[in-house]
Amino acid sequence: MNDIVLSDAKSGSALFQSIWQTVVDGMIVINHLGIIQMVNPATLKVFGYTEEELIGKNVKILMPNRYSSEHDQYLSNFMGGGPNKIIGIGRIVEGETKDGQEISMYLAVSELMVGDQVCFVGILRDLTEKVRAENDILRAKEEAERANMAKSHFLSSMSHELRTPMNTILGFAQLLQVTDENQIKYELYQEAVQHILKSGDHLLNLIDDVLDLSKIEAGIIAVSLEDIDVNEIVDECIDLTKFTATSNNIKVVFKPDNKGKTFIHADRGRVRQSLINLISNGIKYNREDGSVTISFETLDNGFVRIKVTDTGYGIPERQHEKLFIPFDRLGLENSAIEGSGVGLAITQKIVRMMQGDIGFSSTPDGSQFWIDLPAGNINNEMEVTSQEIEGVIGEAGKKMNGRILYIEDNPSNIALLKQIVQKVYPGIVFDSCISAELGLEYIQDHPCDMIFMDINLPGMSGIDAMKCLERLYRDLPPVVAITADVSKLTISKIKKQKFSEMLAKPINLLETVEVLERYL
Amino acid sequence: MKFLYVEDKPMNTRVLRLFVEQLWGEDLTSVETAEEGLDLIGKEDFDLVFMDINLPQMSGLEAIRYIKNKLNKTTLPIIVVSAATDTNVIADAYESGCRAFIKKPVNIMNFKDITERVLKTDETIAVA
Repeated sequence: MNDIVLSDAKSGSALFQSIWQTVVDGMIVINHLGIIQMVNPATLKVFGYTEEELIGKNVKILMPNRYSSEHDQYLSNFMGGGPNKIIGIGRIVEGETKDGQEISMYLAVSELMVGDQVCFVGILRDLTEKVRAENDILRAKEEAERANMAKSHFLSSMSHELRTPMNTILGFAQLLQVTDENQIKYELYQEAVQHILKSGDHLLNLIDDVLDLSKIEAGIIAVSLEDIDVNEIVDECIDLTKFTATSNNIKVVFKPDNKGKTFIHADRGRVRQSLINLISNGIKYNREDGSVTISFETLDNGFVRIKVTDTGYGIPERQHEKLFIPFDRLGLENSAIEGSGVGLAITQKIVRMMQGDIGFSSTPDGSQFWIDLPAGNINNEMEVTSQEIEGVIGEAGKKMNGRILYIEDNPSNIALLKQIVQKVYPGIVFDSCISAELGLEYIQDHPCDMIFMDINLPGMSGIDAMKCLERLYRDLPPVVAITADVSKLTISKIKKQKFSEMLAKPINLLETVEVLERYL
Repeated sequence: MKFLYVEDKPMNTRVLRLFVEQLWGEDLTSVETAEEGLDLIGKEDFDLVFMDINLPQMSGLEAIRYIKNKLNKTTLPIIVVSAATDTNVIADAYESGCRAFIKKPVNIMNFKDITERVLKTDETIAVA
């Protein structure tokens, strides 16, 4: 049947025409000089040209610049018997569309004679999407392999780091064990105990840091953002690093900016952790009688930059890229300076969790580390006037007495609630503790009539503190949860506990008084 | 017996020195870098060398190769003492020519057993 159709010149030509017009692949015919003779609609669709725009043009028009410049030479070489790169073979090549997009296509070229003229027919198929998808997969695979490598590297470094203090602990313990009890020299005994304790402490710090790092990496840790006074938190951190500073003989100086109060919007506990980390690094890696200076500035991009500058020996350029890699202590592994090598890795991760960033610059005269955190809103006047309170409540509550405890690490919140309570109920004793641990201790000695509990506390969380309270006391006074983190996760965690009420930060006068009236 | 320990962490050296004193009543010569170790091995005869891997400049494994190939001390017994636990690292250590591999934290009885076997025989002892 086919034979009959093809043997008929007229219907053969009609058949060719309809194939040419409808075939899915692009077809293009050029002469021996590379001039386009024919293009089919599929080709036009791929490249976005009209037929008129292509016929009579050099085929180079369909190639990216870097190839088109070589095409003439290649074609004339081939005509002169030179090497063949594509004719009769077919491979993936790059093309360029009318609007300048580069595309990947499979191109097969065959050579034929029309009369005494050499022509070339190219058949092409657009593979751009396929090639892009393949490249994406390849990239994802490489990324996964890199992550996997990093993970194994992390694990083997961690194993190495944990084994080092273990060697000291077990070494001395075994020595005590194998030495005849009556022959143990007091010096050996003393030395062993001292080293076991010291290495034990080091090991514990290491474990805490590793746990913290992996929790952050697993995304288990939530940040609870609030507006924090920069002066206040820096002062607090300097206070907490005082012991390290004095024992290393390093002066820690704070140069506050005197333009009034500056606030950052961040997680209090995590900012504290980051700053303490940078300050203690500055103290530890300093020169004798050196100093650490803390300052800050508001940037144009809506961030506040807190800078910690030391007078140490600086970090050699070649080690800069290793700075944030866990366990890499840049060759200081054996120095007398203690550290897990995880601090900066943790700091970088938590700063980024708060939408901030960390960076540094270093010269042989010292290094400066900075963290940028989103600027916060300057808290509205925290003062509550008597008139405001009068407006909210009559005389009824004023005769009340009893004891209220507020467990909260943020001093401004304590001050605010204290004002409210003291103005509305002058007879009530108001006390506060800055951690859940201290709060639990306080309650043992001071029975309370009502407890306000912040949820995001340093150390034990408000949720865990509530669990302890439930276990410890059968007749629990009303406990009100106060949180700045109103994410679904936190709220559902709060609701699982037996809190009487939940208040969202910022503390609202009316709501607070209502809660006090209801439960006192 | 003359023992040499190439180890950069003073606490590890202290523990091993006490082990050696306790077990055999012997002294332990120690250096903190592979370079110092090679220098000393070139000058003095040791009965046994304990070698750490992670050292500040030249690694312990490079040092072993140097001892075997350049210093021609092919029969000097070397025991690697390392906190590395990667099977690749352990394989590399045996390939470099160590007679035994002791993992940190060092178990004193294991240490005694392996050291005595290395001194008494020519065998290479697999890692425990």
